[in-house]
Amino acid sequence: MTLVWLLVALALIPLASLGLTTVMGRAAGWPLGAAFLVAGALAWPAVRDLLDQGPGGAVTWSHAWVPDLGLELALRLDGLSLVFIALALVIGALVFFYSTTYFTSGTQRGFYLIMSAFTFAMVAFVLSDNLVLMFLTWELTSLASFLLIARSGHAGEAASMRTLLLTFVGGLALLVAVALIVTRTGSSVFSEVIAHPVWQADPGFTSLVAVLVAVAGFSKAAQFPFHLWLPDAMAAATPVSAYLHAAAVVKAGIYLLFRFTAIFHATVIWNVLLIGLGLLTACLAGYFALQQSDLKKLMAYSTVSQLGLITATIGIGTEVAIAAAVLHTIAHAFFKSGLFMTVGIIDHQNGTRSIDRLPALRRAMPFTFVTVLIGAASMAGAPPMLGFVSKENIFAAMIDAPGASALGLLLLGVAALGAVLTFLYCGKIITGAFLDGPEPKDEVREARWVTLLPAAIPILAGVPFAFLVGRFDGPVELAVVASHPTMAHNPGFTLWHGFSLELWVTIAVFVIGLALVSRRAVLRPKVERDLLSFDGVGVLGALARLATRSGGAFARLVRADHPAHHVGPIAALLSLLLGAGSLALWAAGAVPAVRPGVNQFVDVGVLLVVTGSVIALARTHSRIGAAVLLGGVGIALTVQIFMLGAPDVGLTQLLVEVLTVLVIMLVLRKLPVDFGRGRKPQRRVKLAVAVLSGSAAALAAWTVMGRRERSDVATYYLDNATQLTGGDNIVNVILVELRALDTFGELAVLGMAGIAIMAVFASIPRVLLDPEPDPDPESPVTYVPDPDIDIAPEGTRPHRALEDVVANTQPLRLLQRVLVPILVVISAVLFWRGHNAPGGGFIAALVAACAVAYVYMAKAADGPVSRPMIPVVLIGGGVLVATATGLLGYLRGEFLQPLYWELLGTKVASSLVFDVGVYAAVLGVVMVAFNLLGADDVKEEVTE
Amino acid sequence: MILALTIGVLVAGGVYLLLQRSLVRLAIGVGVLSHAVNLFLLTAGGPAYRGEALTNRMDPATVADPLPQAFVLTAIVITLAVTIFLLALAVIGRNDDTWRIPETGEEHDR
Amino acid sequence: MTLTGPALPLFFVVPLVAAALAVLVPGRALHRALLIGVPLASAAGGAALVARHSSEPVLSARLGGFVDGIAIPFVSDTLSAAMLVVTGVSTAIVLTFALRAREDELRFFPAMALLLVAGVNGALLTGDLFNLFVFVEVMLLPSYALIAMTGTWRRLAVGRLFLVVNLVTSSVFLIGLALTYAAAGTVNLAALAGRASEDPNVALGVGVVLLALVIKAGAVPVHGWLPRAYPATSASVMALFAGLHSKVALVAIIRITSVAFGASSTVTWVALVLVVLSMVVGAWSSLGENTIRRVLSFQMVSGVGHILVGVVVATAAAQAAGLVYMVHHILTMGVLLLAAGAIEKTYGTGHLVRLADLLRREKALAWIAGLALLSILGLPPSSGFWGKVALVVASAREGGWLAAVLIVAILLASVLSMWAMQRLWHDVFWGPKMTVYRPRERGKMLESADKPVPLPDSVRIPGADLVPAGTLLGLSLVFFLTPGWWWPIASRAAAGLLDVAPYVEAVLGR
Repeated sequence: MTLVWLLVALALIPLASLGLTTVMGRAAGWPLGAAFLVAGALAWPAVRDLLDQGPGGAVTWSHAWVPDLGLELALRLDGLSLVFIALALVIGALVFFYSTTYFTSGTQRGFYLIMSAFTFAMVAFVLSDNLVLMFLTWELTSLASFLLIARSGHAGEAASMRTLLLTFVGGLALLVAVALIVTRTGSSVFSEVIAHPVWQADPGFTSLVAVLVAVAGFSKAAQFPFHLWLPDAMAAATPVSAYLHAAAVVKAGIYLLFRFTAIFHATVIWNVLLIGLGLLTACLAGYFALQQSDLKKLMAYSTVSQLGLITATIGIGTEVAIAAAVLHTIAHAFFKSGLFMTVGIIDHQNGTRSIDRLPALRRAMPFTFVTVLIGAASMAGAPPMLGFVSKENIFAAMIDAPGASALGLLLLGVAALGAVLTFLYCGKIITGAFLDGPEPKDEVREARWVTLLPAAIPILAGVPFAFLVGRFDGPVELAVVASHPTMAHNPGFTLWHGFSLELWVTIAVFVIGLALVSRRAVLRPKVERDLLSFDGVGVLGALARLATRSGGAFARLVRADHPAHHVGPIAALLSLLLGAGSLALWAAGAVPAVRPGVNQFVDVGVLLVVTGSVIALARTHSRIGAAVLLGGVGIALTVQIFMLGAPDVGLTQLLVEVLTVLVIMLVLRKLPVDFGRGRKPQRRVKLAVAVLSGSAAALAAWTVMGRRERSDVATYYLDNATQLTGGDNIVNVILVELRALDTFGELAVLGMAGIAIMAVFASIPRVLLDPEPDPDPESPVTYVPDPDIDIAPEGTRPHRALEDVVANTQPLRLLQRVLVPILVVISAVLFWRGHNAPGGGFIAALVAACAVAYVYMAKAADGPVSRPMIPVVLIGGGVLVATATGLLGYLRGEFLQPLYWELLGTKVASSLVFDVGVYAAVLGVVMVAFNLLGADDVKEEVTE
Repeated sequence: MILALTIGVLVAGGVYLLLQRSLVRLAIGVGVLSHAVNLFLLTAGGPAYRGEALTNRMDPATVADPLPQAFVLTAIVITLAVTIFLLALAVIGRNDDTWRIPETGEEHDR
Repeated sequence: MTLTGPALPLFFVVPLVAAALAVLVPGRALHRALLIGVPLASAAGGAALVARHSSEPVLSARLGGFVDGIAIPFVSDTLSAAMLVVTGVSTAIVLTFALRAREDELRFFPAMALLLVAGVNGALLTGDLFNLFVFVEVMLLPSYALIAMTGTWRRLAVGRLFLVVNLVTSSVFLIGLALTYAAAGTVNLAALAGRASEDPNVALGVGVVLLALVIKAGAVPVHGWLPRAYPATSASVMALFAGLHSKVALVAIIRITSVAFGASSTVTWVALVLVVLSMVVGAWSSLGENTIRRVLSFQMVSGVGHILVGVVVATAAAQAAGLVYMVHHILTMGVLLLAAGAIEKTYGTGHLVRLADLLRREKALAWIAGLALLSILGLPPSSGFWGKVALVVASAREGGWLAAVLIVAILLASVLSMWAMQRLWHDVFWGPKMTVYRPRERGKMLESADKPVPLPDSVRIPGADLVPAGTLLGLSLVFFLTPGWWWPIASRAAAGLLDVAPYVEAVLGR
């Protein structure tokens, strides 16, 4: 439970930081840093408990959360996590103290917030015993470091993006690893996973996971090829680097590698990857560090190379190696964070951190000089520093690495090379900053102690630590056993262990190192020449640009606004599915025999007419001709439909056809006479697609058509529809009662279509609705010219007669008095009989619509057929009436359940009222069509 | 067989028109395609049965499946509604060429 | 009150009546009340249903009170109920932004929006394929109007595009219905249970229906219309569509495949191709776009791929993961689209090249957008994290090369999206000081008529414009913190997809 309290305390610190920074500004670092130590103290009981248990012990706490996702809040404190928590909290505190005076302006609210949030995430990560939780906190630490780099102004922008990308990739690798482990072992609790037999049983799987985990660890620990984000990250403020990039974020990667040692220490690919890339990174980064003149960048590369050394040592996987790696992790965390902070101080006092511009500071800043000297010595592994002990142990581990002794020596050789490079860049720091260069100006002096001490403490601590190194045995042993449960090991660290091989190597390293440093004047220019013509940043940038460019290509594939471009693929896909599907059916012999009577002679006639008019349709470029031909097709289809025994459909089809053609005519008044012509090659493609879809559709239709008995549903309707509803016209009763909901929806669509048209027209400037002729000369379109009737000369009576529109339309208006009432009556009859014979609300309404059309045509001028609000009321009212009828159904239990009663001796259903709604809506939408498309003063229509 | 061919012809014609430039032509294409679809639906009931589904005067042996007819009726109406809307869009702007954007007095940038 | 089966149609009726009222009765106050109240009401009803389904997995209504199998069924189970909640809430929030943008003042905008809601609810609840077609049309019609009446100068052109594509798609849907009825003799989904896996003739028909739905969902290779059409409308309408259209189609796909096919190798293969293509091509294309909302539109395509993983890997875990991802996607896309809308409303443009340096000007916006971008990438602390984790874990559980392909595709898409989102953030929030902007006349929707003028430093996005996006983001954060609460619901919904017996039993009484 103490672990939970630790986390809770750490979770509260970010919140506290908000308040504290407002109150005491950047001085909030003092209480916040102290809070870290207090939080650590809170966890003391757990630590006590752990130490009592001795090697192999652990303090755990868990609480189920989402079992299916393999997620539970499981915390586990053991030797390994203890080390990393201690580092995170102690160094965090020191860095916070340092920050209070390092920053010279601003409250630094964001800095303290994210830093403390990071500390929480880091500790949670180290404590979590559940893989999913581990991944979650891992991502949180990545985000925090990204934010801290990103908030350092324009300089940090690109760098932060690269950091985010690289750590994101690592995160993905970890996620996949976690998913695989959870799947395979059936457990997401790390301590259980370790014990699972699959690791021995399935080497392939083990290797795969090993690679994924290694990638994840490398991405965080800045190992090749992910190393480039760490130097990038130097854009961030010094405290950030001192904490995240020396002690925390990068160490999270190291921690992951330690953790999985238990599983992979004997997996070849794991050893190869860690040792190989680790040593490669160590040397490469060491060389890069040597090339830097910016002290901070130098520190960054030196960190990378040190981490490389640690990684390689972990890769060896023997208990000696692990012990050495743990010790070096501790040593490095201390001296490197201190060095970062002192570099910050140098930067502050001199306004630069570039070796080329720095004077010889040893006299001006003696204390800083000594501190850096000790730190560098520790890094270079010189006695009597902690770094010396750890480095010696690493060498020892290399020597007796498992496998051929030659291998051990090879490793030692490479490590020694790395050590030489380390010695050299340490030398470069000292000479560059403190020994070489002109005497500094007088105003250059030491920083204030409040700034200096937090920076110096972690470095100076390295000396006593070295003498008391024996005291590290206990904790390190705990850590070793935690990461390597199979074997116990007492490292037995000592500062002096006799003239062993590793000591001789060290001596050799120092001799060579000193020799080279002494000749630095000659060597430096040579070294600082670029080794390669390209660098990681460039490669990454090139990749991103490539992805962006190709992405543009992908986007352009569909970048077209004309429908044809998008209808094409759909048609192709449809014909593929239909064609391939039907052929497969035939091939599988799954197609039943066709029933007799499917083919009838009359169909042939229809087929011929249809074919003829469709071909004509495809060829014609006259709009009016096209409209007429469409009507032709419609008529032919109507005949076919009647022949299929569907009178209602036939009637509807006929009326709809008439209406459609009418509306098209209205539209054509405002449009060019001819369609533009497409280009020939395109025409061929289009034709191909069309024919393909046509044949596929025909094939599919033939494959399924008329090959089964009448369906049960159909039989049910035929047998029961009438006594259920009292209507003889089964199709109609299906529409208004048995499947009234379809009709209900249809009515909503139709009615609202009218509203939709009004809505769109209301949003558009009037001029666009009665456009002027197209000014664009190269466009092929021409407009219907005004008819110049030249029967009679200007001014004569015949001429006047022809020009007088009112008089000309007189007969129509006379006829209207007779015709409209007749149509209304017919419409009423159709409406009433709908239940028992072809007819019904929709058909009736269409007849009424013809009356509306007639009224429109009989007008002397193109005007609206009704007051603008009438159709709106009809539509809205229609919907409401239909709904009301539907709700009446609840009286008998269900929505739309019909009610029946006797009227004039016939059984009348509530669906008749429902049909009224349909009627009104249809009439309304037709009126809208004529009012908006037919009239010339549209704008007044829509905006009142 | 024959009905299937009719459907095929209609689909082909409809798709061809739908691949054209002019919106009115597209509208006509939609009309033709919907004819095909309606016929498809009707025949789904089994074209062997072709009697009118009117209880008082139907022959149970040959009467057609009423359900697809109901479907087609609904489909026809919906198509009508959308087609009217489509035609309304066609008159916006100087012409109905779908390769050019209707002028709306707004600046043309991508 | 406890909801009973017969009450289900009200989810469709109430919004429809509201739409009719909005047509008939003028009065801005009423319209606003309806726009916000109706979706919230349907969300509340959905919540009640979700609660109800813990005891009774499926509720159904037989419309017209006719016998089972004849009457059109309305069916609600955990999946549809949860979708009612999510769509309702997101719609309400998006519409509050529409009010801020004064789009409700466009004539008949309220009626159209409400009709859209009606269609969505109907489509989510109906248990009959033809009826589904009708409700999809009820959704589409107002969408045609909305897309053509709001947004930039291109809206009319893309209005035509959207209309024609959907007309064709509807024809495809009907052809599928014809094939299905010709082969199976019914279009009642419950009656089709398992038929597609038994009878290849039925499979063909249902397959064509699914093709139509895939087109509507906007999956590669038939996605092209979506990134063209949506970004040309106003941000709020695009957000509305993003949360409703594709998602309804996706729910229908998931439902139909699981009921009609059950576990079928054919479906697995076809779906795998669609899923991988959509994930990768979508993410990749979003790298190459040049306005905020066009980038996002391609991210929607990529999202379709992620959501359909559940169809490829027909396991409880995968189905649940897909659903979780869908909810996350609705929330996060909503946040980003509304944030884009807020930017466009104040600065008059959504072009990446014309925007810059907003981090300095708009702290709140930066927080909202930043977290949402992380969410899209599946990084904590927001809904996206669980979406990605669940998907990868579920795919891994499947094992074999199928899992390998899926996981590789997910990873590739993630990295590409990372680049795309970085580009978005870099162009919009960083970079040199912004010098000109395109102020809008009050309540004017069209971007491009506005001419660039010097940008005074005082210009800021009004806080109220960010409230909707902020609210959605808040929901996304809550979603991140409460997996223990919603995961059981998700897995219950998934269970309903794997074992369809209760569904069939509720509809057909057997």
